[in-house]
Amino acid sequence: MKKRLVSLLLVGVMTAGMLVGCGGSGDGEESGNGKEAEEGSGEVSISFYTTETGKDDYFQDLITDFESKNEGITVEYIAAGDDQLQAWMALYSSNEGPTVSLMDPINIYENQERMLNLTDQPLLDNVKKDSLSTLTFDGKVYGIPMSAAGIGILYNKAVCDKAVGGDFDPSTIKSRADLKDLLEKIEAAGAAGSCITGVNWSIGAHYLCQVYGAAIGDVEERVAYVNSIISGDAKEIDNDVFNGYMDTLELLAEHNLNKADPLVGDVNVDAAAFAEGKCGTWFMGDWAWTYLAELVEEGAEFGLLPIPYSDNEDDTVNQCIPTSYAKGYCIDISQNTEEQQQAGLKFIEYMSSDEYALEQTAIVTGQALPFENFTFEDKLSPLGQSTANYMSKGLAYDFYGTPNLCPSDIWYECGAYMCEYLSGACDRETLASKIDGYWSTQEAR
Amino acid sequence: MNKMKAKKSLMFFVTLLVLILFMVPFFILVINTFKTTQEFIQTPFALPKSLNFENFFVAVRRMNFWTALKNTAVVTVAAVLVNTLVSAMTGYLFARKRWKINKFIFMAFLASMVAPFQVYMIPQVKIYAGQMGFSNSLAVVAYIAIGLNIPFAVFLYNGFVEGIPEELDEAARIDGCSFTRTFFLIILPLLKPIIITVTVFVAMGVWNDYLMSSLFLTKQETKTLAIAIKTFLTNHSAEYAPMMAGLLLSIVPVLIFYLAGQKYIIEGVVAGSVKG
Amino acid sequence: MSKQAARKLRSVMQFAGFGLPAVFIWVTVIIIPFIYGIWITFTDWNGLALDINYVGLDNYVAVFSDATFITSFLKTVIYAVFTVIASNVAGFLLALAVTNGIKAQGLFRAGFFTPNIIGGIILGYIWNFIFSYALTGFGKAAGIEWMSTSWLTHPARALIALIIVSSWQMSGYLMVIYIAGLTNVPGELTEAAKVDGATGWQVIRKIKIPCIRNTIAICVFLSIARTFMSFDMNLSLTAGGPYKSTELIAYKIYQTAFTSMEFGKGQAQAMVLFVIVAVISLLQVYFTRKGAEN
Repeated sequence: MKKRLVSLLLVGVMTAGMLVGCGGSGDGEESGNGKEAEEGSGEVSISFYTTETGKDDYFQDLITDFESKNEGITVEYIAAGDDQLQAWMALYSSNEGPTVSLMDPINIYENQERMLNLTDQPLLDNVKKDSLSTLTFDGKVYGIPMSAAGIGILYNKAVCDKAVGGDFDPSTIKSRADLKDLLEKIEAAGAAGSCITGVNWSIGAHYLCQVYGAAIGDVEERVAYVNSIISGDAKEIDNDVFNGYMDTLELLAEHNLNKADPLVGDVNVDAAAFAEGKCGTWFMGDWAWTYLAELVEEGAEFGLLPIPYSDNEDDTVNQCIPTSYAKGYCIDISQNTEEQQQAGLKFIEYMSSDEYALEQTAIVTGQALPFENFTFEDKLSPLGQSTANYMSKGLAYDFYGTPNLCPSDIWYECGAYMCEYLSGACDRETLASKIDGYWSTQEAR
Repeated sequence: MNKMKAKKSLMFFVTLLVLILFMVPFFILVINTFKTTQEFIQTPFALPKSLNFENFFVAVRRMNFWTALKNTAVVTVAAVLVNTLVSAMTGYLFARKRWKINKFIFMAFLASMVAPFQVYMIPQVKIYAGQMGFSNSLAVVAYIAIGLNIPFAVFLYNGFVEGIPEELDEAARIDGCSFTRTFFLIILPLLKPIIITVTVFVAMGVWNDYLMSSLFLTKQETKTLAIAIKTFLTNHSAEYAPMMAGLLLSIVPVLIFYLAGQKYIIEGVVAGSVKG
Repeated sequence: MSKQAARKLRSVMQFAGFGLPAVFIWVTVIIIPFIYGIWITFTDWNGLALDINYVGLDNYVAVFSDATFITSFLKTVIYAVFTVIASNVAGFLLALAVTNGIKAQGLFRAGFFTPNIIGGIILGYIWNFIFSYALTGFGKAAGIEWMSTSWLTHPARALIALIIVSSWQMSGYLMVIYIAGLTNVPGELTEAAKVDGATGWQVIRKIKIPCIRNTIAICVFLSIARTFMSFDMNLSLTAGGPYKSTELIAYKIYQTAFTSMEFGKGQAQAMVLFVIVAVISLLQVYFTRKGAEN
């Protein structure tokens, strides 16, 4: 009796096991032969991991187009959720390291031992040299940028026109005094002067990292400054650039739409307020068009203003916007075969030079693309055109300048300090010393 | 008797009130599935202007809904079946046989329930996907889901079995039942309410699991619902309207299952009262 | 074969049949990776690097010398204490209400359970809206100062909000277990007590609660485990904000490992958390069971 029951049980477990097996078997086999079996047959299958989220349709459309133009290559699409590093780590831990990854430059830098050196690749000829600074380590290029993101104070032209009583010209804002004047005029005209979205990534990364920007000097001087903070030789609080940007932040905060509750920040809610003209300006960047596109009325004009850090009209940094090549394509050599790497190169080449790819990228990101054969300026979003405009006038500087200027967690760690400061819960000296403290745990650049 | 009735209906209305308070976020979710994301952000608490089902179609298409539903169902059903069987048996064994080894394993089970998943998730991927090559395998995801839920399920079964008088087992033994037979013929039927409870928990946990599944399932065709819904995330924001529609679609099967399970629990009570 | 040997063999067979499958799966899924995880705490691995260096106990030293880890842990203790009490009381009351033979029980049970079915980011976002806009709108209209700004932008209130939402979610979960326990209380006992003139409250206190001691132990244990590991709600409701004042321990560990890319250190933090919570919860189970046996 007992034996029968035991065997019954075994059958039960096995049936259940088979049930599981059936469901998974098809997929399991596919992944098994995905990487090796196709070698030598001219067919190659690669994978593409993207941390640029919310663009699944766009990427999949381009992959289909790429596959049709490159017989024999299939691209498996892998998209990150809101956990890009963890997902990347999991892929590498599975020995499924993506052939091509679209990552933040700092992540490529930190894992350059896994990446293909692109320095001598012909596809680099099509990439504008000045866009490669954050993707070049020790003179070797490890990534191809996706698009240029301009950071600045967005303005709603209709509101500003009303405030200045005529046609608002953004180039008239050359110093903090000019900005102050504008914000006051906007407020006199009945809207909030500005808006700050009180979230760590905006004020912690985008706003704070300007402190290590062109106002400090050229790239070498910027690195030297960061190193002096790390070593403890310099203190933020003694630095005019730091204080200048914090003064401007205070100015913006004084006119902030969310002044009553500065950290309530929600990028969608703020976008709606900005589009409706409840505030005249908004500290954000040209990517904000993705939030704005559906809200703005036909014909309404928007653009970017630089963030001045001093009252000096002759300091061109006050008229420059920082641009960041926030994502780059890189190719893995640690878990991909030679053939896959070659196919990956073709994929990157396609993304950075194919007419259709460039057009779609311009439409979807709305941002300027750093490629020689790029001709779709008219497809950019109004904000992206504004960025492109600054760039063409030479009034833009590379936000980070070098791949590892700011650590990958600065938005989270220092973002918290910045939020605390913005909410009025701590004074500037405390903020400065906390930021000093953060840097002191970092290694010299 | 009238007083009793009044008390009962008062009870009913108080409970109803609490229920409504409980369900507010759920109602907000439902009404917003008919709006655009913009409408949701500007007026999250208002009723929709019109009954627009567009979000549901968008969700079905972009989430690859039917494939994801199938994957989720396969993993969940397999995990629940195996988990129920092995955990109920172990729970019974641990409750009736107080051997040292059983006590030790039981405590180890409990301890492993408070181990942060993060400690062993990357090692899990390294072992199962990296070394054994099981990435994108629904079978492995189901297997791990079984393992992750074993301590919890054994814990519940064990506690419940302890509430069943041991005299029942003894009576069965005197009648000539072996240990195994006693379990399958006498105890298992009595476990019905707790089986339903554990099944609901395990099923729900596996159905909604994002973290573990996402480590193993990266291909479009192996994604589960909880992973697929992330397609609506954008940098620093999300397309909330279709996301909510997708979420609602994903939880409907669980809700139906739970409601059906409720019926069984009530029946189980009736059946269980025999044992008294 | 002697009788004793036969019994021994039977015991081994019983263990092999009833215990081994579960133990095998558990060891392969949790224990082996867990040991692997412990090994990582002695290295400087960042999760991706090709070579791994041993650093001895450096990661543990870093954990204990990190003031933010201790603050975060203490905050988690506060959060856990309130959430465990609130959700168990609420869960028990809900279970009582829906096992009392009122109409539409099934619907009620499902209703109270729904917060557990809707998960993740959406739920956090909806609550975020409620705290940031619905309550503030009400506060402004009614002229109540502390309700006219968002709860989530004020450190203490944000923690309270987190406790409320977690209790809201978990009480439905615990309710289900309490229901299972309560349905196991022999009906004759409560009937007899009622005949003897016991009030409803007395029935609950003198009969129902003692009968479900085991269930209470289970629920308290589960809620302790869940609150200390609370991650999803923390992420989607406050994301640790305002300015990290609601950064609970599990969330902090995640950030250390996956945002700061200090994987070894994150693992060490998690190990420390594990040891503390394991001790607390095992003691709790041990004592409740001992109490039940007496």
